[in-house]
Amino acid sequence: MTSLKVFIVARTIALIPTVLILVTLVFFIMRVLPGDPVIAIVGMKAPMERVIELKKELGLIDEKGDEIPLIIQYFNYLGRLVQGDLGKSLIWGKRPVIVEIMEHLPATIELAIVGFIVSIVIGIILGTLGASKGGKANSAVKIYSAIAYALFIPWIGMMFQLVFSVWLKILPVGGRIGVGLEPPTYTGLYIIDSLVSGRIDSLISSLRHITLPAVTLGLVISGVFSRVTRASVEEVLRQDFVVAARARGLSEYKIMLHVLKNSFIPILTMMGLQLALLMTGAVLTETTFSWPGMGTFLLERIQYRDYTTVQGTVVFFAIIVALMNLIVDICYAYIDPRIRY
Amino acid sequence: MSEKLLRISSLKTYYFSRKSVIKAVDDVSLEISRGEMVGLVGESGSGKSTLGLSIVKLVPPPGKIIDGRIILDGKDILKLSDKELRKIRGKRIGMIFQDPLTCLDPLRRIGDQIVETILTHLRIDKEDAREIAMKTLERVGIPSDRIDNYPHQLSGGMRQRAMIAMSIALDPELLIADEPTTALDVVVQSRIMDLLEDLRTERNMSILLITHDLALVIERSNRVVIMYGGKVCEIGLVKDIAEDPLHPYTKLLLQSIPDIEKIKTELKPIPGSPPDMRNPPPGCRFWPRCPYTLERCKDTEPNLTIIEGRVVACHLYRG
Repeated sequence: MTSLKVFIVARTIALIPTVLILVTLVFFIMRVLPGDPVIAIVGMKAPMERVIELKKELGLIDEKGDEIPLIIQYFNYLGRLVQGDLGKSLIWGKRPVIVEIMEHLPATIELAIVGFIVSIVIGIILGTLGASKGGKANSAVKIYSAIAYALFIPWIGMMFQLVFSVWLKILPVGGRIGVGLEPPTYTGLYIIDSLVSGRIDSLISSLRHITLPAVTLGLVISGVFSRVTRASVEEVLRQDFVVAARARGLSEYKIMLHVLKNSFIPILTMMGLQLALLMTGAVLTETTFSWPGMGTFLLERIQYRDYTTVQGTVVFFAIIVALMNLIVDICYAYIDPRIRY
Repeated sequence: MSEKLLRISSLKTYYFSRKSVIKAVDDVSLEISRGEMVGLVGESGSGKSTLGLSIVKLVPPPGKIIDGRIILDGKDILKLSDKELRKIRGKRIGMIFQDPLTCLDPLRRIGDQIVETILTHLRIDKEDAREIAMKTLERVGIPSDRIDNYPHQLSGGMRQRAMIAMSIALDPELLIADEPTTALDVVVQSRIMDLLEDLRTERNMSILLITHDLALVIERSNRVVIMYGGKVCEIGLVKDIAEDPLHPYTKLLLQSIPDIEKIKTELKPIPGSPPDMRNPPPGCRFWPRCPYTLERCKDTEPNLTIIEGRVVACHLYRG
């Protein structure tokens, strides 16, 4: 086995305790939070039978009405979790939480990926230009980074809506796709699904709908990437191997490839953080553009005190973040041969 | 040996900052013949590395070559376009640096880095380039199965060999070696120097050995150039310099070399410290530390002059 494979296997095994700790933390924090979730849902004046019924549903008391000890509740919860059971929602048809998450996740993934691509393309190009040109270009990129990241998403989103949707009328104000244009579901990602099923009208509609939210999101996050890229490239450009490479007659383009690869570790760290953040739903963007993703979903369920759904979703997010870290670590090791166990 | 490969004449490379101008290389002229190893000796800050970088026109900003000529085989390097310069760098002039760890891309296999250099200059297949890379690695004493190693997997000496392999893969006529052995222990140092000497004799390669180590130069070079404060103070054959140094600085440098036979004698450092290059002393730059200072040393700069076949810049000698 190569040392890279060893690293990947070892790092993946290390994921198990990480996730276990996360799940445990979420479980106990939800328990120690003040307020009784049952009362919060049924109300203070609810009849006793209703309260007991709900407590049974939540696994807080057993069939005979005796309270189940917290530690047993915890292991019951873990047992269900490994089977992919995040519990059932407390409202609206009491559907399994995992089913509800899966309904909203594709919208979030789609927006996250497109917005992410916009942000890294803008960020890495600007950052590299700033660092390699130096002087005024460098200062301009510094200023851009600060301004872009400081933009308030609802404001810039509404400005885009005003210009492109209201005045120019070329892009829709919000939503994910035109009415009745939903493609048959394969992945839940409309762009992919309409490509797979060959529905050109769906593809155009979904692309038109995703443009404004993705650009808004991408623009703001590009500030982070241009800042990290600029700083990192600037530092690598000062290293001796750049002069050594020039002394061997390499073209500036080839040298830039060396430099970018060497500057990539901090950029990758930021990519992992930002993508994990995006996967858990860009609440502000989703709200501004009525995008039916995880952010709006979680916000809504918190307002309705849908306690099991909130807990299930938080656990789900925790696992996504842990997985994202795993992917980033494997990418580190792939890029840098010195990173090994 | 007499054919001149490189002629540097009145080269001036200055670093410009807002407040001051640092004359790192100030009116320096020297020549290197084919197949000759020239040792360029000076303290830190004497401008020797800047001189080395000037030859390939890679002085880092805010440094600038403001005057002079660098003639390689009849062509003035300073007048070439960037594209023409790139054809010379790595192909006709190779360069090796002090710290091979920081001078190799840590994320690329050494073989790939050599192949990349070869493909930059020659239109050949990747396989052929890899073949050349393997041969070059063996030439510098690295087993060719290490070709897919990363720099961090090699020892310090091996890394310097890899760096040398990268610089000589295309058989350059001139190799500029900037402190090639400073980061290595003495045993490895002597092996690397053997390697450089072999390259010189076998391929008639000219080598400019930039170092602060006069002892090393005396042992290995044909000629010596002594630099102090951005100026050349003495040029001569190793034999002449070692047996009869003319310039007071050269004398003091020689005396400061510790003698292994007399372990108990104390080191003899040169008193004082190198000149502040932002504000060098008027006249001869060495006079504040010189034991033989004359009145005119303090206001008149000595020029390089030929005295009985020797070249020195000092008022003590007059033609």
